[in-house]
Amino acid sequence: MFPSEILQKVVANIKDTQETEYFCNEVHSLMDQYVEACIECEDLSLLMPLVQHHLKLCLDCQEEFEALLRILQARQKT
Amino acid sequence: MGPSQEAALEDLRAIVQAGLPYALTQWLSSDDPRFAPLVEEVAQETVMRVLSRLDTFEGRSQFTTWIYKIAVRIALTELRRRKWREVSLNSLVEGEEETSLPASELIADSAPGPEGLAEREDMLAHVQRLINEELTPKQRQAMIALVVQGMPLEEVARRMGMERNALYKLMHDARLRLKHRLAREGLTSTDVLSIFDRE
Repeated sequence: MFPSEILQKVVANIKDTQETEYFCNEVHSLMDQYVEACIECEDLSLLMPLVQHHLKLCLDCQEEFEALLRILQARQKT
Repeated sequence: MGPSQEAALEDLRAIVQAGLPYALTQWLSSDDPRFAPLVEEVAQETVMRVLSRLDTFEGRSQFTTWIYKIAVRIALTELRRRKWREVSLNSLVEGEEETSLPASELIADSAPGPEGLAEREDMLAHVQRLINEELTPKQRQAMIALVVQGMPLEEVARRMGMERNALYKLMHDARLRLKHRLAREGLTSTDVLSIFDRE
């Protein structure tokens, strides 16, 4: 049997599951546009909700988003 | 290749090398002896990949952002591979046995009285049964690696001989199956989680 916290995490992921979701390839193809939009937009809730939703569920894509964001933010300062 | 093309490639490599350290700050210290060789290796690979995919750039972002997106994917894929190279999927599946503790030992923190505890244990056993009944062996294997052991999607996919996108789809199907099964039983994930919030 899985530990309690793992089962709760599984159920939390089920809660966040939507019938229609973007998969990694779709998010990767939009990632550059999404990161640029994040830097320019004050209200992130308005941006590409399916991309946002995928980033919540996919740690790999979330890490890549954050890494790309760090590059763009650093370049903005220089 | 003419001098102007060589210069363009060198510019491209320099762009990647200038930006990549910011992406890697959470992963590898710039003082680490592996840092400079990794940046060089990723820059080289990025240039080759950019050249092979140049016709797919649609101009919807800045060209440099598109290049960095590719570089980040290459760099993080390599770092994940290095981090997890000592761990096999088989050992992860065998490790499942080690997690077989009584539910009462696993929910000790804000545990309620005996009735509440029994309710939690029943629900945990129920969720586990749904996982066993609804998911395929492949979906369960992936779930153990991803959720229990915290292995990256990219690494699990590589070891299972799949594309990362296909593994995400496999797990999306698994989550949907569990969601629909709960619904057929008149339950929602919110109902299940609320049991664990009760004092």
